[in-house]
Amino acid sequence: MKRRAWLLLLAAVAFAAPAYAQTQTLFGFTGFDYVQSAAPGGLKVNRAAVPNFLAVTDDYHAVGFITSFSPIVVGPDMVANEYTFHLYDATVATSTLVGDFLEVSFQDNARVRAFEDSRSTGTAAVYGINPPNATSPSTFEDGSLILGADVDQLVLIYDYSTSQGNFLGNANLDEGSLLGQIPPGLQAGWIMSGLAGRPNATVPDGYVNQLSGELVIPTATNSRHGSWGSLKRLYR
Amino acid sequence: MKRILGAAAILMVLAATVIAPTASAQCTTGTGTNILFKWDANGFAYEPGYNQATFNSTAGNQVTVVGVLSLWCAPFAALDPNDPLKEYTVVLTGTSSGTTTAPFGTSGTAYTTVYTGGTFAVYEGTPRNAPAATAMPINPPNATVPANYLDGTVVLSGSVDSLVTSITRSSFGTVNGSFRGRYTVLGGSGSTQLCQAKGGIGLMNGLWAVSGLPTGYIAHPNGKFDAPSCPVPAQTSTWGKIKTLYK
Repeated sequence: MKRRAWLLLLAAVAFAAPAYAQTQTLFGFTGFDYVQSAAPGGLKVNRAAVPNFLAVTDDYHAVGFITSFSPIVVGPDMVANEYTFHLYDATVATSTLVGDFLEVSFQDNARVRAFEDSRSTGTAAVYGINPPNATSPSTFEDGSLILGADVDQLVLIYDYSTSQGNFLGNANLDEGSLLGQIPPGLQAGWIMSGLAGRPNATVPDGYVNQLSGELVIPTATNSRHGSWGSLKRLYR
Repeated sequence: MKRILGAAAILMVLAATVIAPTASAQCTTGTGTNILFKWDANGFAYEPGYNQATFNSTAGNQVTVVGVLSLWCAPFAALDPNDPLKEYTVVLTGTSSGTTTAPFGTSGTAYTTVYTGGTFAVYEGTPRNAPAATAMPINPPNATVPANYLDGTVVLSGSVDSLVTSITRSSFGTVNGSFRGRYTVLGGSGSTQLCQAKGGIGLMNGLWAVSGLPTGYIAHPNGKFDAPSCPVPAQTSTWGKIKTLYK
């Protein structure tokens, strides 16, 4: 019982934040997105960037590297391991191009997964060109699954007049070896967002946009003062 | 001699591997243009007179962006953004030209602000003294923002033109944003490691989140600078030589 109380206290400290801190980042990432469209025979093929690059039933993918972790998770070793992610099963539900603005909504139940792969014994992730290809997304989803989330209400907006846009979706963490470090009350309610558009010389052929984003939770739990007695009473 | 050269080459490869073990993969795009540096959770923008409810900026006011780097890439891959003794920070500024609004989709609205005449600088400071991203002191400028992001040696500095922020309230009610701009390297102790110490132009862009901000801040940017372009230098020649090329 004592151990449980200590764990709860540690969790409270880890997520404690001053009243003015309103977000907690789980991880930041960089990467690229690509689109697969329906083709004869039910296959999905890569579609290069064109205006209205996301049409209804298109599948949206994003692959890339996790560039930093929040201290709320213990264990990631950025020196020994490579951390990658893959966003998939994001199927376009509606797509509206009016003037220079593209607005896209996706069906629920997209999924994002983050992986840990040893730099010494694993396979380095490589984007390549025209994904899916021999290395993408496969080298971004090898290794061990550390976190995964169901992504709902994903919306992407792109302004072709300024060559920039954003995406944002609600993510509920539900799998992975690090899931146990996230208190149950904080596993839902995360927001995944990012995007960095083109023209952009870093974007490999066949990918559409560069990504710079993060997974954040909007309202971190604030710390509360309490006594050992009140804490013990919770478990009697 | 060949053996010595071979051994030297192997040593150079090994040294490069040791110096840049972690940053290379996540920096390499395969296109020849890679990321230069990136920041994640610790990035915040503030601007006097900004209307948070309408995302409206007043022309003439100055935006300031502060951030702590989370990733360095070539030619700075030897710099460790997680060094416990050092901190790498970036500070950006720009002058607002005001905000324009435009409808999109079925009921969305975009708020676009252009900032001109900007500057940027990346600092290497000791000790790590920037506030934690989860504990940003309110209402900047204050005792630590931007002061604790501005301390140390300037690694890179330069100008930022046409920084554009775009905030969108979608037809589905979601609110989010992005930023995009062009920078020019003009100095800093590390500028000599770039293909040209002065004049290299690159893209900077990323997320411009506007929800759940500490009081007094207008956005949380999560972004990156791409490596500057390396223009081929012009050569003086004669019409005769040019004609010879096509004969």
